[in-house]
Amino acid sequence: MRPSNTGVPRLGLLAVAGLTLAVGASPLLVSGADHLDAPAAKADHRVDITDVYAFRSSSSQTTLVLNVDGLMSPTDSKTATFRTNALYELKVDKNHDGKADIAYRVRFGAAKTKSDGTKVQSYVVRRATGSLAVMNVWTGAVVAVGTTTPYKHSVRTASIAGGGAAFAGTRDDPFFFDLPGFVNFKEQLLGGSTALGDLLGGFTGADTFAGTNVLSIALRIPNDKLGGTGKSVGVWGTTSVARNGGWAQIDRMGRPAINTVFNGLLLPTSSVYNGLEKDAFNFQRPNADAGTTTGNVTTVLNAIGNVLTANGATAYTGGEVAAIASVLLPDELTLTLGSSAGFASGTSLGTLGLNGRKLGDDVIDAEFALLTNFVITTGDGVNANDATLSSSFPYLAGPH
Amino acid sequence: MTALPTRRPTLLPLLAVAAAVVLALATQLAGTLPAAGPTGMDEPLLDAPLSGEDADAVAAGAVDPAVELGRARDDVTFWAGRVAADPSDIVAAVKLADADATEARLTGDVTAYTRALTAAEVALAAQPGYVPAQASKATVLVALHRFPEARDLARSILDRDPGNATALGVLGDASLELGDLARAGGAYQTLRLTAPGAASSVRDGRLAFVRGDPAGAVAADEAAVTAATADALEGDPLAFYHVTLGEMLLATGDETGARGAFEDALAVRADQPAALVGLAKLDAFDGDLDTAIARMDTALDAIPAPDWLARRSDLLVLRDGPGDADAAAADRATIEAIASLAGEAGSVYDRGLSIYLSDRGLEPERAVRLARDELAIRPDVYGYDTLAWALVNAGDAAAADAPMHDALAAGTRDARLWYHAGVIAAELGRAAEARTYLEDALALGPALDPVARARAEGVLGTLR
Repeated sequence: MRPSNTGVPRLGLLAVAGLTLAVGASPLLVSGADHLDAPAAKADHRVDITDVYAFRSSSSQTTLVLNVDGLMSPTDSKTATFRTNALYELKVDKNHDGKADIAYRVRFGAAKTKSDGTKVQSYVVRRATGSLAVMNVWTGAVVAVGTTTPYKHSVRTASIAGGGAAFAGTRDDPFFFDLPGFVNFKEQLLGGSTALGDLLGGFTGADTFAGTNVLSIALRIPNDKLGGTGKSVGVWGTTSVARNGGWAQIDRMGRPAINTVFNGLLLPTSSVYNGLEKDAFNFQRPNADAGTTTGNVTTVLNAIGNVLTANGATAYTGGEVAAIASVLLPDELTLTLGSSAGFASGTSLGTLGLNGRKLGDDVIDAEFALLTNFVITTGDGVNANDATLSSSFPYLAGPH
Repeated sequence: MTALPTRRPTLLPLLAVAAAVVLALATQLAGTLPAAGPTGMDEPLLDAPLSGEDADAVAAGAVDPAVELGRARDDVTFWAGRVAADPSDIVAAVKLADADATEARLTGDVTAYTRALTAAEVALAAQPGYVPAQASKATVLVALHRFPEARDLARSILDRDPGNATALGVLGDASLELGDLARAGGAYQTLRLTAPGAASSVRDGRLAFVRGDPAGAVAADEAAVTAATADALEGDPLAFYHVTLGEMLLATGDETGARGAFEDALAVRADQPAALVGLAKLDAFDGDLDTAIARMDTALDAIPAPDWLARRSDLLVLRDGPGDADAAAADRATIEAIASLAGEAGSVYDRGLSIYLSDRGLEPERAVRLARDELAIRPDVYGYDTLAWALVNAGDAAAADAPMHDALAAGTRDARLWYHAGVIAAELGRAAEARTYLEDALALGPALDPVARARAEGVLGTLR
C-alpha cells in the first residue's frame, strides 16, 4: 500500500536549484505513458494522437474521429483543452497514392473558464482540397464554427456547410487494450523469447484505458464530400504545431498501432531501438511510408515468425510478409465509403477485415491475429470498451 | 525451443549516435516535407466572443494555486487507486509517479518525490525494461539530488532510445550538477535538436550562465518564455519559465527586467512562491523590508524551503521591529528541524545548510563537514564554492583558496562567487584582487542579498 499523506512531516526543498530542475523537466515529464508514442509527440499531450476512427454513420455519411491526450483522469478532464496554436487535421486520400486530396482542418481559440470551473473554446473547421490538402497549412474554406462541449455538459455540435456536423470536447476513450500486457510481450520479444507463455503471460485482460478520457474531434461528413459512396479512400489524422512561422507536423496516425508495433524496436536480429525512428514516421507523409518502414514490418513479422516456428506453428512465407507490408503501408485507414464493415479479425489473410475503424472494433485482437498468422486469436483478453457508446453523433461515450 | 540470440547494438559513444540519428532524421525530413509555405496563422473567427450558454465564461486569468494543487492531489488519488487495485498496471504506476512529482513541485514536499520514486519503482519491479518508468525514475532522482544514479539511468535509457527527451534532459541536468559541463552541453545540444522548445532553452540558459555567458543565458531564458507562451502552457509550468528568466535577470543586475519577469509569473499563477521570493529580493535591495517580508511570508506559507526561511530571518533581523528577533529565531529553529527530519533525503539539504551556517558564522566545523560531503557527491561550481566559503568562515582562508579557484574555473559571472572570492583574497592579503571581486559583485546590485552586501562593503572598506 502507498503511504498516506497524513502524518508525514512536510519538508521543504532546500535547494531552489532542485525545484528548478524538476519543474524544468515538467514539459518532458508528461511523456509518462500513453499509447507508446514517440518523444516529440509526447512532449505535449494535447497534440499526441491516441487513435483515429473512420466509419459509416448512415448510408450517405461517414464519421471521422481524431482523439488526442490519452489517459486523462476525470480531474484532468475537467479543465482539459485543445492546444490553441496547433493544427488538427483529418486527411483523406482518394487514390491511395499516400497524399491527401481532402483535408479537414480544425483550430481552437483561447480557453475560457465557465462558472463551474470547466473550460470552453471556440473552434473553426476548414476544408481544403487538391494540392492544398497535402500540406499542413491553415487554408481552405471555412465549413464550420462551433464551441467545444465543456466537461460533463450536454453535447454541442456545429453544422458543417454542405451537410454534416462537427463536435469537439472531452469524451470517454473508446480504445480498449491491456497495455502492460503488450509491453511485456514486446519486452519478451526484444529479449529473444520464443516461449508463448512468456510472451503472452503479461496479459491480464485489464483495460488500461478504462475510466480515462481523451479529447475528441468528430466530423460527420456526407460521402459525396469525401469521394462518393462506394469509393475506397484512405484516412489519417495529423497534428501540427506552430514553429518558425509555419506548421510543423509532429504526429500522424492511420491504422491503429502501426508506428508502435513496427518502429523503434531492438529486435534480436535487427536494428537499433530508436524513438527517433518513431518521430520520423510521425513527421512524414504516408507516401514515404513504404520506403522507410517496409524493412521494419518485414523484420517484425519475421521475428514473430521465428516464434511461431519455434512453437510448431506456421509462419508467413516471404511472399506473404511482403504482401502484408504492402497492405499496411502507407499507414492509412482504408475505408469503402458507405460500407458498414469495420476493422475486424478473420481466420486468415483472406478473411481479415480492414475497412475503416468503428469505435467498438477490437483492433488489438485483429492485429494480433494478423501478426501471428492467425495463430493467436485470443488477443489481449480485453474485448470491449468500458463505457457504452452513443447511438447519436458524435457516437462516443460521455466522459468519466 | 531455441531462443533467438540477443544482439545489442555496438555501444558507440552515446551522443555521437544520437547526433547521427538526428542528422539522418533531418535529412529525411528535408526530403519529405515542403518548405514552410503560407500558414495563415491568424483566424479572426476564433476571437469572436462567446455568448448564450457560455455567457458566464471568462478569459483565463492567473491560475489559483489552491485549484492547481487540488487537481494535482485528485490526480494522485485517482492513479494511486488504480495501482492499489492492480500493482502490475505499469501505466498507472508511471502516471502516479508523474502525479506525485507534480504535487512535489507545487508544494516543495520532498516526501512527494520519494512517493514518486516508489511509484516508478513499482512499475519497474513489474517490467524492468519499461522506458517511461525508467524516465520517470531518472527525473525524480535528479529532484532528490541523487545525481550519479540519475545520470547512469539516463545513459541506460539512451542506450536503447537515443532520442528520449526526458533522458537527455536528465543526463544534462545531472551532469551539470556533477560538474561535467562538457557532457551536459552535449546532452542539451541533442535535446535542442530532438525536442526544441522551452524545456530545452531553459537548460541552455543555465549552462550558459555557469559557463560565464550571462547575456546568452538571458537570451535563452527569454526564448524559453516565448516558447512556453506559444505552447499555451498555463499555471505553474508557465510561471516557472518567467521566474527562471527573472532570476537570471536578477543575477545580471537588471532590476527592472527581473521585476517585470516575476510579475509576469504572478500574472499567470497567483502567489507563485519563487516569483514572490524574487520580488522580495528586489524589495529588500530597494530598502522596502516590510514588503519583502510580507512576500516571503506568503511564499513560505506555500513552500517552507529552508533557504527561504534563512532569507526571511535575515530580513527580520535587518528590520529589527517588535517581535522580529523572536520570529527570526523561530525561522532558524525551523531550518534546523527540517534538516534533522530530512532522514534519507538529508543530502538534499547539505549544501544549503552549509551556506546557511557559513553566512552566519555558526558551527564552522559542521559547515565544512557538510560542504565536503556535498562536494563528494556534487562537484559542480557551487559545490567548490560552498566548501571554500565554509573554510574561510572557519578561519582557514589558505585552504579555501584552491576550491575557490576551482569554483571560478568555468568563468561563472555570479555575484556570490565573486563576493566569496573577494573575502578569501582579502583574508590572504591579495588586496587588489579582493577589491576587484568585491566591486564586481556589488556592481550587480540586487544579485547580492543585503547581508552579503553589508559584509562585502565592510571588507572593501578595509582595503581602501
